[in-house]
Amino acid sequence: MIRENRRLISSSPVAKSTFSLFFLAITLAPQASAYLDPGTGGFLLQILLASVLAVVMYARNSWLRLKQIVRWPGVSGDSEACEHEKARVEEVNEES
Amino acid sequence: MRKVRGSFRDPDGEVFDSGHLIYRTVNQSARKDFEYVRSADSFKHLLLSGKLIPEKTVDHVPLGFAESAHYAVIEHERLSLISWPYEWGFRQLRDAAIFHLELQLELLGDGISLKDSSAFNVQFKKAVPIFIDALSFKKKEQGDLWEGYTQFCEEFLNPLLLASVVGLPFNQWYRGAVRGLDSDLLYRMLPLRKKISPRIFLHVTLPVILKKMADRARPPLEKRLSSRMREARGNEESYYFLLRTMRNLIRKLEDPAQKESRWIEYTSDCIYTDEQIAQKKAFVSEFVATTKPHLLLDVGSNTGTYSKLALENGAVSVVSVDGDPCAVDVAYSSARELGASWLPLCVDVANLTSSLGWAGEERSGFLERFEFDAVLALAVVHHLLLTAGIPLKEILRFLTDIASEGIIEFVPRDDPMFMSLCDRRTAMGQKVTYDKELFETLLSSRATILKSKKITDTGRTLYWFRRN
Repeated sequence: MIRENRRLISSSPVAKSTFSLFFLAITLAPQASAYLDPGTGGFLLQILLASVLAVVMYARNSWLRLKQIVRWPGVSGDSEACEHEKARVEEVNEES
Repeated sequence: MRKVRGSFRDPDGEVFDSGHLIYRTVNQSARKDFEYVRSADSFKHLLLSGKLIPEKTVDHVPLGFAESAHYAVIEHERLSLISWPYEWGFRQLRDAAIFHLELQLELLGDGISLKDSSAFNVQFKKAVPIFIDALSFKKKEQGDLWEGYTQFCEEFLNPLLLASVVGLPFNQWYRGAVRGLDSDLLYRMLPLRKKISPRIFLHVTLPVILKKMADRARPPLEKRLSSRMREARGNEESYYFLLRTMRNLIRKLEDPAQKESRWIEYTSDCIYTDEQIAQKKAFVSEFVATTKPHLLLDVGSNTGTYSKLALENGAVSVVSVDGDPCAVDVAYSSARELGASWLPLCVDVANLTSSLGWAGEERSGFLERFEFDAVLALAVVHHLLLTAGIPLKEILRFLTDIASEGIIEFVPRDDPMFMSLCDRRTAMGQKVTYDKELFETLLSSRATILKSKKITDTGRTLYWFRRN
């Protein structure tokens, strides 16, 4: 089943990396000198969330990069607009 | 010098109590984190702003520890009022939870995370939360997860949801389990529409479902996955996302006391006229101004009117206990406003907190933590007698044992409050042995009555006693 899924998503590098990230993460708890039981549910939730957010962030950044590239040869003042857009996106990232 | 029993879990150090100061040993294993954290600006800022317990590294070790075993010894101020989360009201636990999350958010900016999220690490100093575990902090590595997430849910979030969403006070459950409330158990109690509300879904429902899925997986999850995959990876976004959604969820939890506080005010004062209240207050004020107690216990404090009065008249610290969590919430709000050394606790005086946890000594009991030199027992004796079923002799023994001086209010048989509590017993044909003469005889056998004052026409009387 896992193999099938992997084949299915192998075309997208983002999804692939996220998918493997999730399974990488599931295997073992962090190897710190921790004395606290992380709890199965809470642990899996964090891994899942990290994977989902990684995809969201990747998609968002790719979209912004694309926008930047597309706008680049346009009319003057675009680079300034890009900087503005970048700052705004950073703000949004921080808020989320 | 006595080892603090609750400090055994952390492998990085131990805590000792000298009676005046607290000493904490820092083991070699914690050296790197200790140095990193102490150099961070956010940590220094939190120390200065009083959110972390003040600390200083001491060169001279007055303890007789084997010095090679640890890397450093730090000295802390000793908080005079220690309490456990199962003794708090809703607002206290909610404030402590938000405080804990904001502490983490502030430190995260400097790459510091907390290795646990125990509610027992938060205490109240002058009714404001303060973080007391100086070894909870560590350098956050890239990809680290929030290690204390499940503990935070069990010790903060789930008890709050139990009170706010399910409508049951968390205290008894929390005290029974000591380590909070399991998500699985809370999940069973939540109504369906709450289970699927977005934030509760994220922090309760989803972890429970994922745990069930992992438990059912055959062969077990660990075996199914290849051994070369060895690292758990989180990311910054998910760490912040968890902390922020948790904070937003907890901030919005409705306080169950809000609906009932009016009723509390009504019942506490309806029995007296304004003049009688003034007389009662004058008597209490005189007692406190004369005895100047270091630590006063207000038994059955309700919303804390007389605790506040005691603090205003010279009591150094006050612990007020009441079994009603709503009354405790109101008292806590007054304590925050007053900013005094006042700790309102949701404790039933007929069932004081005992020592709990590992080996029966991890979390010390109520009487071990406090040494009172004065007690107020206003309009409470008849509740203990009739509701809790404690004989008068026993009540007076307890009250004169717990502090050397105090005020006890006698409520006569024909007082409306006494009658309303007693009606059921008389209807059942039970006899309640209780009158003023007996009260005075029993009290005099253990203490000297220094002063007494009749307050109401029905015969409510205040007795100022000093133990023999």
